[in-house]
Amino acid sequence: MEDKEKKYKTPQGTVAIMVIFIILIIALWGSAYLTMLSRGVTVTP
Amino acid sequence: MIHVDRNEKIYIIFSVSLITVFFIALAVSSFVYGIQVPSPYQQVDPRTIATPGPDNPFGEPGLRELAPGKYEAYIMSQVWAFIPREITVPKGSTVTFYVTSKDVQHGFRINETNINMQIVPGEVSKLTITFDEAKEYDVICHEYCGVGHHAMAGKIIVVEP
Repeated sequence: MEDKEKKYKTPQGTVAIMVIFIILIIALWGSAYLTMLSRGVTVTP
Repeated sequence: MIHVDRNEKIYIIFSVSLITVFFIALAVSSFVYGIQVPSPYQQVDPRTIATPGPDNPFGEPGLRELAPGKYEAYIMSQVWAFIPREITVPKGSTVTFYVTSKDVQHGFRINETNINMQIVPGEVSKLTITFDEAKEYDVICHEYCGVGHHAMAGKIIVVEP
């Protein structure tokens, strides 16, 4: 089983694309979230 | 025990953590910072909602001052206008918007704020906002409501007190 696994290398390209994707998601989501917070409450105080 | 590759394990842990963080952030904004999506406030009859009457604030839509700096705005949506089209309030005012439609589905979005509601005939949508900046805010219908949809807009004018 282990011998079979060793034949495969770490998928560096996939990991790189995934990392870029995750950073993008965090940046876009975070920016939208902070914009929403800065615009204030919407419930009756 | 099922074998999970190291990379897969990292991916699974990271994905679940990310969703958990996003979920916690949403809960915090909702319950700590008071930012919520609108829920149907009241059910009304769209056929009679525009009829003036003592118990029907939508019969004469507009801005009402409840206390200094505290207002409620009754807005009627119809093809293809908001009534009233413009509202002027002093800076620092807290305004609660009650919006309904007497015909088709509309949208009510005040740009650069968190006010964004679906306006469904027979329902009243309600949200509150405090205007901390003196400027003009555009109000737009963001739900396609017919050939004049693009012209359905209004304005909130916030002036220095």
